[in-house]
This record gives sequence, C-alpha cells and structure tokens, in this order.
Amino acid sequence: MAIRWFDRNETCLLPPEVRKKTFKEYDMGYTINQLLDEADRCIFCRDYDKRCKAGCPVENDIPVFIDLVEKGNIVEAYKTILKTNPFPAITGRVCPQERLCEGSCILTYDTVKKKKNKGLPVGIGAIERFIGDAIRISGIQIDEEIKPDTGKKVAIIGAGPGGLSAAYYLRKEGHEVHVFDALPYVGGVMYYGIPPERLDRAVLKWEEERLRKMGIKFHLGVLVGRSVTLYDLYEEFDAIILATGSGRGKMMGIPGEELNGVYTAIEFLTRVNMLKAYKFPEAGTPVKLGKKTAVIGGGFTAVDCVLDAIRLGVETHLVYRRTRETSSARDVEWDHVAEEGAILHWLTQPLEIIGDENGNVKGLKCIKMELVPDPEGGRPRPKPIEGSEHVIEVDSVIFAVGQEANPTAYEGVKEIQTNKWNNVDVDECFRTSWKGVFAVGDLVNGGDTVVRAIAHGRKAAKYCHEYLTTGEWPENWQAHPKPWTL
Amino acid sequence: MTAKVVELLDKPKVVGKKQVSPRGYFLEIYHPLVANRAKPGQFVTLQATELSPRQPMQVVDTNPQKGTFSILAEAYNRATVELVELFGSGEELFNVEGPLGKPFPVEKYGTVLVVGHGWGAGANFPVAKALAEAGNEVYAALVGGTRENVYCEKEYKEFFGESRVFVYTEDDDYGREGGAPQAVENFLEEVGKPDLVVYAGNVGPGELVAEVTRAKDVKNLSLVASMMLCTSGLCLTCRVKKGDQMVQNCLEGPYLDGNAVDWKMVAFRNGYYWDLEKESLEYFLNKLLPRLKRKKQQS
Repeated sequence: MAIRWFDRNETCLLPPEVRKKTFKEYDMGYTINQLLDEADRCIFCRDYDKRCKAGCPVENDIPVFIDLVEKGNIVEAYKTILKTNPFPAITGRVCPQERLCEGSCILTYDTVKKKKNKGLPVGIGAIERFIGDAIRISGIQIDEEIKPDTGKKVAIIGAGPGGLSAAYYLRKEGHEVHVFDALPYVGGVMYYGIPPERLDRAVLKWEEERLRKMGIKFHLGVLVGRSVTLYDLYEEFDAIILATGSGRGKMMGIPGEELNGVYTAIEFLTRVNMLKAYKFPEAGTPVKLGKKTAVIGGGFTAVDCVLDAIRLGVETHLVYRRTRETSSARDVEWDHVAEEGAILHWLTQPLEIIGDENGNVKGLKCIKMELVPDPEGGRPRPKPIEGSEHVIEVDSVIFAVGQEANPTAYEGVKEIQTNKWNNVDVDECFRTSWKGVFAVGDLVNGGDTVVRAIAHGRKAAKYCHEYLTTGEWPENWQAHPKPWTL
Repeated sequence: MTAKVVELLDKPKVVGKKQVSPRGYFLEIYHPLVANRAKPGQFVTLQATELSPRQPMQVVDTNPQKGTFSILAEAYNRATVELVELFGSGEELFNVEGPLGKPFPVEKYGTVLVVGHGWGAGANFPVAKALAEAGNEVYAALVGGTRENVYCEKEYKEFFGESRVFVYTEDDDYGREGGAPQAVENFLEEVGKPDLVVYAGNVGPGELVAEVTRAKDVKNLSLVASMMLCTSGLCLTCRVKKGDQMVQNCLEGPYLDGNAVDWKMVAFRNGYYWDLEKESLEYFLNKLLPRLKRKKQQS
C-alpha cells in the first residue's frame, strides 16, 4: 500500500472570531472518521522504539495503540497507554508533539538515518487525545488493577503532573498514597497555569475522580514547609516524593516593576484560570488589564497569557527579544493568537515600564533588536539597534519570562541537597540525598513539559516501590550531573 | 504526644458564629490541622465557595481538642461578607489553606507594646499572650475608628489586667482619643520606651506607627496586610519591599520589620482593585445573596 505522506488529518479549530470570546476549548480534536483515517496513515515501523516511542518522554507504545484503534478496540488502546502514561487525554492536548513523538515519525524525520523525510507526521497527539476522551465520555469503567495493600505509606508533595503520575503508579503497587497540595485543586500547573481554552477542566476533574476511586487521598490546602514540615511527613510516611514544580513567578528587574498593573504570568493566570476572574463579578476575584496589555516572553506561558488576555477582550501585545523562529512556543500557536488579533512584536526588548502620575502602567518602553552572529559560534544573538527606542502604550504588563523553584517545602531541610537554582539534586533513580525521599518534575530539571514530569513520576514510582520493598538505599549517593536529561 | 498529620486532615466547616459589633464577627472553624498546628502569628487563607476570592485571616484562638480555631472577620469586602452571610452553622467551606506564614518570633524582648487597630486586636491576641508567657512585660493598645471596632477588650483585660490595656477611638467616642500612632506616642511619654512595638491592623495606621517607632528608634514588628493571592509562594502578588529587598509576605510574613517596610507601596498596591472590589461586593449583595436566600426559603 502506498505511503500516505501528506494527507494528514488536521483537527478542527473554532474560528478565531468565535474562540476569542470564549474560555471553552478551541481545538475540537478529531472526529471518529478522522481518527480512523489518521490511524490508517501509520506504517507501523518495526523499529518504532527508535522512532516515535523514543521521541516520547513517557515512551508510549504508539503504533501498538494506533493498531488497536484501527482494529476497533479503543478500550485496549487506552489500557496500552496507561502502562506508560496515566493521562492520555491531557498529554494528547498539551504536549508539543511536533518536537516529541510526531517529530520522530518516519513520515517527517528518519531518526535512524538522521535525515528529513518529505511527509507530514501521523497525528499522534490527536489520536491519543481521542482515546482518552472516548473512555472519559463512554461510561465504561476501566478497572485499575491494584495490588494488595502493602502497608506502606507514601506522601506526595504537589498535585501536578509529576505528583499525580507517581501517585497513580505507586497506588497500583498497593501502597497507601497521600497527595498534598497547597492550592485547592488537583492538577497543579495544569489547573492554575494552563488555561481552560487549552485544557478543559472537565478532563482534569475526571482524572482526579479516577485517582480518588483508586483510593488515592488528596489533602488540598496544605503548604508543606508552613502548614506542616517535611520532617513531620518523614516521621509518618515510609517514603516521600517531592513534586512541587517550578512555579514561582519572575520579573526582569527593569524599572517600573513596582507600578500597579504589573503582573507575573503566574499571578495573572491564577486569577483567571484558577479563581475564574473571567466570570467576574460572579466570581469574586478581579483581574485588571485595562484596555491594552503587553505580555513579555516567548514560551508556552506567554502564549497562555496571550490567549487569556484576548479572551478577556483586551488588546494584547506580545513582546519578545528574539524571533518567532527562536521562541520556545509552537509555531502554530503564534498563528492561532495572531488570528485572534494578538499583535506580535519580535526582536523587541523591554527596557522600562512607564507609569502615569497615579503609579499605574501607561506604557512599555522597548528597543528593537537585530540578530548578529555569535562570535563563539553559538546561535545568533539579539543586539539592540541604536536609536530604536519606542513606547508601546499599554495599561498593564505581564511577565512571562520564566519561573523558578518554590523551595518552601524543603527550605532549611539540610538533609536535602539542592543546587544553585534551588532545585533538588537527584541521582539517576530520582533519589534525593535524603533516604526515602525522591524528587520529580520541574524541581529536578528546572522547568520542562507536563509529559516530562509524568515520565519522571512513573520512573520515580518504580524506584520508590523498589525502595519500599527492599529498603535499599545507596551508601554513596551521588547527584546526577545532568538532571535535565532524566 | 502530638497528633499525626494524617489524623488531622478533614473537611473544613464553619461551626460557630458570634456577632460582636455591627460588622465584626468571630467565626469558629473546624479544621483540626490548623487547630493543632497553628502557632501565634500564623494565618489561614479561606476560600468560602468555589467562586469566592481567597482571603487571608489571622488565627485568633485555637481549640485543639475540638479541632477548631477562631478568626475575627470584619465584614467589609466580598470574601468576609460572604463568610458572615452564608456560614456559621456547620456549612462546609470550599477550602482552607493553613496554617501559613512564619510564626511570630516569640522571644524575651523586655517591655512590649502590642497595638491592634480594629481587627488587628484579634490578630495580635495570640502573639500578645505568647509574648507574656515568654516573660515579657506586655501592654496592649486597642484602637478603633469608632467604639464599634474596638475588639477583644474583655479578653485583653482579663489576661493582662485593666491597667495594662489602653483603649483608643479615633472619633473619641470611647476610651482615650487618638489612633494607633497616638497610642504609641502616649505610651512613650507615660510609660517609657518599649523594647518592641507589635502592630496589627490596616495598612494606613501601620505606616503611621512605623513613623513613630522609626523616629524614636523602637523595634517594630508589624503585621503587613498586603494583598495576597496564592499564599503558597508562587505568584508574587504579596511582594513587599523591606529595606532594599523584596520579600514574599505570604512566606516571610505576615509580621515583618515594620521600620523597614515600604508601607506606601503596600497601601498603593492594595488600592489597585478598589473599584472592582466594590463591584464584586455589590454584585454579591444585590444579585447572589437574594438568589441564595430565595433558594434557602424554597427548600
């Protein structure tokens, strides 16, 4: 059968005019027919473990579940994914597939010969999402196999993707699992950060219910480090998994950051996504961007802020000092927000936030940049163009320039070795320097994807289970030199 | 033997409500973790319903056996009005986070003047008691705009004795005339220089108290009622300038070095949402509350 290089099924998006007015999901996913047709495009590489599977941080058996879809067995396809990833409906939505599984699909790139191919990858993300959603709305109860109680108790700190994944796999081994989180929702960054227009909260709620049905206990409103200490939990539990993420907001240190109307991305997103400021005044928490806002940054968080700001009816400027091509967000997402009316300022460096006589933001002073070759041979560097200073008139500014660790849970805990970024050092088995304590996700690698955290959670669960079973812990623990490769 | 953490985790509810002034209420909240673990100076964040704003509240009293703690709520904004209107007889709260913040550094300072403005008198009460128990000579000034928001007078007088408690009202309707800074100035003149002034209450009087303590070189630990949001160390909404550093009040506070805090910035940032906060409260009073009341009547 001829290889179908190019006729990839694209998911249906709500038209820009419609979607920019709603906080409902705008990517509608595949229809059943698209699903089946796309499954037909997969050529089932025999060495898929060197291709799509290797490109997937959780190492999903992608052709196996696509084959099951083709054979008309969504339930088995779902169960196949669960072996490596508990949350296909989530990762199918929020993964940057084009640089993970789909970027390693032989139709577009031959990872073995290391050369580009002419075609478009199989729509793995949309297929995965369909499988998760299909089970979610089918009413079918997937019985999770849970081993008999072991009598061991594990505390997981943080109910984000890393913590939840660890919770899932540890519970399946029969351990008693308690998940603590400071915020009132299960989901961590997937709730306070990723906006509902990209990840429907019904999905998160359903995943939470699944975990609760398995017997996982959630304790929301407990800030470890203040409400209780890590030492308290160490006494009471047989093992601990730190999964507190990298959620602390950051600014740039430019003049004017103390003005009213200056937000960190985290504050803005928390107000809108978690406290539902888009329903104000029915929801009591306000957000105040004025008529125009500037989002500073070029990553996923910047895109999320732009999406939310546009939906609040605000004229939204995106300001990034590099180019669109060198930004870390997906290219297609810039197209999406541009269609919705966002004004994108590439190669623009913010210099200062300008305030009015009342101390409120009235503009963002910027300078244009140009790319110049790096003398050391690295990627081209942005350099200010003299005399190109200009002011973008805005009423508010949102800093989406990265996050840093929130070390509250382990600050002052001398048994846990941290590095200069306040992240926790782990060895190749996600063990920290303190016996019985593991760490996963962004607080290990400084900030990566949801799916990377899920992968960490699963692997750490395996090592944690081994520890709970054998009690073995290395005598000469050594920090992994490159934790971002884990 | 302290109880285990897992045994203290339960769904929070408001089990009691006592009105003590037109706007002031003591709420008793069932939350065994806070009841057992809160130390003087710590706070909680209450989110009454899923659509309610998150409201930081100082823990005024705890009852570990019953698993409850008390707060003093002055109903003035959406969050506090919701609390006193909808809760009080066993209703479950959407979420309580806590205990939060750093405990007050209870040490032996010597002579301590504890100044509570309005609700701040309640907030300061556990701190004042702990300071007295640590061997300090504790005096208290309770300040109200009017006599209606002088709180906990009886409790303070019972604990510290009549002669050590000074009551002030800004409108001179009750007790001595004057606000929080006058209370400090009078104390300096009449009793002498204290080794520490502890302040709790709104930001405006806090700034004025700090002006006095700075001028007279008196150590000042003040509850800084800055705006807060996540109260978990993430969002930086509560950032406060202290000397030349920026601190996260939800983690490092709520009691900070009052002489080093940039009070003007706190007041300024707190004012950013004033119009929307008013709208939010009016929407609750005019739209949501009547709807909820009708529903209650029907059932």
